[in-house]
Amino acid sequence: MISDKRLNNLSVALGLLLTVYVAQDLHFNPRWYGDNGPGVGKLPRDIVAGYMHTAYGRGQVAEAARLYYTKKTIDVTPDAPYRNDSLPLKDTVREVIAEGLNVAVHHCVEGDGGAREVVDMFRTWNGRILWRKTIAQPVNGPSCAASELARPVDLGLKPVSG
Amino acid sequence: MAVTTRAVAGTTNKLDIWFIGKLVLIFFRIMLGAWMIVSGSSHLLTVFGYAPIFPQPLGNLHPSNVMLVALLEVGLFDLVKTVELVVGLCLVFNVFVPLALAAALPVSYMVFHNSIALNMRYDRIFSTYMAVWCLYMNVILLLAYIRYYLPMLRMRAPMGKLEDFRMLPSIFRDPDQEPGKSGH
Repeated sequence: MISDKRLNNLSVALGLLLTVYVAQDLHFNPRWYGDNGPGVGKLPRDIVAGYMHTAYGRGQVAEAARLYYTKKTIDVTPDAPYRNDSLPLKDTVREVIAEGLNVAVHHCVEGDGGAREVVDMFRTWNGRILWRKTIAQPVNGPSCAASELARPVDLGLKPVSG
Repeated sequence: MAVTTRAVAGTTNKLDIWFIGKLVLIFFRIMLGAWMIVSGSSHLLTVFGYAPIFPQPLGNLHPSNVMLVALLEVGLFDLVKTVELVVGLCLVFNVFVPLALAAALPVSYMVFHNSIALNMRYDRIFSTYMAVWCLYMNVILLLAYIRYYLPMLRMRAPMGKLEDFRMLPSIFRDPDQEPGKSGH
């Protein structure tokens, strides 16, 4: 009825067509098609880094929300500092802890009202921020550089310089 | 890409239950290959600075998130997706199929494990999701090509000799497809 050689050629052609079909099916999947946010397809720490660069580094909180939040994003601490647009803030990242889709950033922010040690926690989802919580405390000093938390921690592994 | 696949010429298939079974297996082969080409190339496009075909899902539950993000961050995901792409091409173009199926098995299992165990979607075990059927198709195809794995499964296998390397060119020769005959 049909030779093995012809069957093989047909299977290769069908395989290529199937590849194109699968590609277009996945590309146009409504779960992600049309979302061109800057964090889409990025790792959670890169999403948070992008958000923080816009919100803190450029002081454009509203723009950062537009780019990185979703309609279902929850801000657990809406009254926390730095929730409004401002001039670019000086932001010193001390530590980033990332596991799975969760990212926590300990950083020191200098702006109007002095410097604060801030821990921002995020949960990301599909390239955007789903959940956010901020804990802030005033710096025990005139600036972030003078903060007690700026000192390196001695883990007993090697001598701490300075 | 021009491909000359050296299947046995002259064998004609009759329309019977065995031929229908063969068609089903061919469908599994090209479906698994197509899915792996798309999945592999989507991630590898980003490695070269292009937009992916689809953004990589990172799972629903925390264990799945942790595994996928860790694979991406340590660079192992690049290796996995390269294996997927190469295996997919082999399956679609019907070359080195036994080797491709064996190489695909760990990848297929991890896709299954991530989808079912790590995301606790045991209801999907009997579904038609590709995340589970990639493993099922892989195993079924391995069984369909078992004749090529039999030498590997021998209980007693004395070590070979340097002269065995001279047999390497034989991998490009047409296989003996007649039932009951071993090509080795």
